[in-house]
Amino acid sequence: MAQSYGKEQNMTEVVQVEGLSKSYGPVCAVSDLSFTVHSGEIFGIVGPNGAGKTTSIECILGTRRKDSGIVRMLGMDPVRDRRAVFAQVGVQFQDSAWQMGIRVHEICRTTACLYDPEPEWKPLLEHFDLMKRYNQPVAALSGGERQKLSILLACMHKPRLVFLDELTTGLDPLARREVWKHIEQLRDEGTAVVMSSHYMDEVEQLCSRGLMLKNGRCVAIGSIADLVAHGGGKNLDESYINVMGA
Amino acid sequence: MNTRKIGIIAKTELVLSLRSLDLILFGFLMPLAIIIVIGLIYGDHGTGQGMIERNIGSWISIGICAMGLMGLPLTLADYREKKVLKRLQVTPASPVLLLGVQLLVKGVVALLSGLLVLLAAVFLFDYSIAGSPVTTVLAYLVVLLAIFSIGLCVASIAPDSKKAGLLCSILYFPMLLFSGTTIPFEVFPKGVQSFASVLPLTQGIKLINTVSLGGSFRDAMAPVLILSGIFVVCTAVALKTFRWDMDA
Repeated sequence: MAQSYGKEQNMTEVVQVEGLSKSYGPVCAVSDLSFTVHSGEIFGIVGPNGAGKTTSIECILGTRRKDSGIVRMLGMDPVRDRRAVFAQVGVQFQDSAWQMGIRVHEICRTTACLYDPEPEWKPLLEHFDLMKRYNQPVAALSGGERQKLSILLACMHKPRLVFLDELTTGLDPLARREVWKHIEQLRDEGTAVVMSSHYMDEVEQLCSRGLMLKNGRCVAIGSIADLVAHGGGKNLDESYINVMGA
Repeated sequence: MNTRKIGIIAKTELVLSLRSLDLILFGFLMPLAIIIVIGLIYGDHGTGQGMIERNIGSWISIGICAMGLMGLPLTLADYREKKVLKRLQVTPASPVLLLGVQLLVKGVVALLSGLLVLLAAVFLFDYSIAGSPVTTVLAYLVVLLAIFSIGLCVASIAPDSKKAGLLCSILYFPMLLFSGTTIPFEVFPKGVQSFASVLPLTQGIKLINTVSLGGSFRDAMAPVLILSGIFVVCTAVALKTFRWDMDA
């Protein structure tokens, strides 16, 4: 019985974080962070550079060792059950890394191989308007194209949950909007998204809920309206400035 | 993970490897140059018991040395430092798959390099094998696995690409110089020979030379045991100390 109850709960709560903390020597990067993400929502983590967004995400994923706290993804422990978790979870890191000289079709083909059943990736290349880059080295793509490729690689296996770390940093306004379109589409297909960003317009546009990080601490959490109200501004941008500047 | 998938990943990694100039130079051109130079100096055509026949193991092992102690560990260290492994950490890929694919790919390159040297020996210096070709290939694979496991170990232990490069040089150059791959072992003075015998590759070359001259594995028991021991210990250490990301 307990098993089936747990399963039912995981249908809605795809990420559970409780009391997550991480220090680098004497510097506290993340302190006592707790939040949950539900299926079907886009959850935003905002904060200035150095606030602990990337450290939080990496400690949740298990690619960085946390000092303390409990993390469950799809009801599983991402470190102990790594392979089972990442069969259903997709990740785009802030700085995506590629083998030197690898071409677009090569990275797609070898990534698809890692999943069972093997996902179709050629229609996705068409969908992301990257088919024309099929035989190009990844290093030769534009910033926007590279980020679209990152989303494609993180999502080709139709994950239930996707992490996107500062996906649109450094993109021009048009490229950002194109990337947004793809994130919204992911949500519409039922994938939960956890994204970090320091563009408030982006978070307001895309996310239903989120949290604000300041010096590694969560200073506000809730719906976007809650976050706006917390900072007392007209929109998220104003509230963010109020909270972070204070 | 079925063999088709391993094949697809290995093929891509092989293509990526072959795009590197280092590999062509150290894996193919250098061994070829060495066998030709040595052959021109020492070759005695057609007698069947010449320098080339007695030391063929030395030259077909240059590729093992280059791939196992340079290509393999440097690729893995580079993938770790550039965070390619970190990207794979958040997929269902296993460390065994990752290390296995690199072993397979660099192993194929080493085999091709050995084959190239062998062809040069046959066509330029009338080399012919006295022993069983099958046993010789088996011996070659034993040596390859042992030397490659040392490379895997270096890749797992080295904290960054620079340190990996240093460790590789410390292992690669002495073995290249003193195991008999460049200068034939038999022309070294006694003192140098006893130092060189400590090197794993020297043992490996001894094994290949013994079986290619018609001996059996039993005639080279010491090298077989030493190489097997190295393989078991180094593979265990490599798997035990494997890290996706040194900054984690």
